[in-house]
Amino acid sequence: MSLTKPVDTSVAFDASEEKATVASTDQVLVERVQSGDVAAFDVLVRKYRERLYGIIYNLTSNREDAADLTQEAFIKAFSSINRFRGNSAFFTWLYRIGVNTALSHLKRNRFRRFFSLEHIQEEGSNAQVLETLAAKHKSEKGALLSELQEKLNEAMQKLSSKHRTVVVLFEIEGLSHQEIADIVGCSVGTVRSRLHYAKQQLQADLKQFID
Amino acid sequence: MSGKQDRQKVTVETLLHLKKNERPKAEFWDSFERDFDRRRLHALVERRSWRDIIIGPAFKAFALGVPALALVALAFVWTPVESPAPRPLVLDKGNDLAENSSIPTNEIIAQAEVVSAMDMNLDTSRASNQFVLDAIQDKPDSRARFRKVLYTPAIRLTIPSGASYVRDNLSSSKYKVTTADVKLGRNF
Repeated sequence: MSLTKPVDTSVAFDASEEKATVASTDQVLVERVQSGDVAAFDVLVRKYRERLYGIIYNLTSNREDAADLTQEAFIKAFSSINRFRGNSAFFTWLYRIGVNTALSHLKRNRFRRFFSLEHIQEEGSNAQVLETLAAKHKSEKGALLSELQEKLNEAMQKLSSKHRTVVVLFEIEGLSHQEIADIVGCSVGTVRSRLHYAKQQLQADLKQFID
Repeated sequence: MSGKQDRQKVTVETLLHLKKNERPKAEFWDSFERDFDRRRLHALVERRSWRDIIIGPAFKAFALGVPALALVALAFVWTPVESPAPRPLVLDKGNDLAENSSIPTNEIIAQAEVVSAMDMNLDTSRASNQFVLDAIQDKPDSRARFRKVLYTPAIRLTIPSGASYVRDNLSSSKYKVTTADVKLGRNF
């Protein structure tokens, strides 16, 4: 069995085309906000709130903090939107604000951490993975799910904030190495190496669940 | 195909993908939106008020006015005062000085004879724009040589007040502190 995924060039092209369309739509909205149309910012908020919340939630493992920090990130973006010159995509800029807001929060509260987790929605491939794990561990699915969720979040929080950020952005949010490098402000090589190291660490922490 | 082969292989990636589905319920976004609107309104009000303060007309006037005023004040202070010649100050006795100054009578040297700076043809360039040198009196005949220097603030060209002080040659040359200074408890 080949370990490399087959590359579908048409899909890749569609994805990049879609990203370009999204970027231009965002740019139009940003220009409207910059010219004083506050409602245009609502469109951007509705568009990105779930993804931004997801990033911040996975960085903090606390849903109350994540909600608060997501709002804070949007407020920061709104307040400084006139400084956005369009040199990068709007979402890259917004995610950078979100990541920095979350990391500053984590730094401030490094001695006061507790989890407050969202419920895992059992859908599609998730349900299949859970079935597999339940069969493997001969345990009830619900109990397994909560144990897995707890261990997963613990393992994530054991990572340094730099490594966690890269894992969240790549594995959970599905961003490219280049996009992550733009958000985090480092080279693509650094992103790759952080990702590799973080996965090794996660593998060690989650070995009881991994085949 | 066997059931075992149907099972998905569990890797770190598949476990991490589970986290994609850790997401809030739909109701959460309603309260999120309400909170966000409130916070944004607050931020808007705050930003406006700061903008008003920073680039408002009052601030502009203040920001431009203060340096201008400072410049005018500086120019006024540093321009040499072309004041009329000081009124000749003639105090024949220490008592006269005592009457017009805050220095107690017993601290003023009895022999001190204050004469007008004009009479003594003093170098007027030594008079700064803050103080006008009024008089210097040298008395070589006395037991100790006293030099009396009187300064008057430029704006008040009248009889010297507490700004006057006495230096004698002996103490100032040797100890840098005059006896009068010590007596009067002054620290120059």
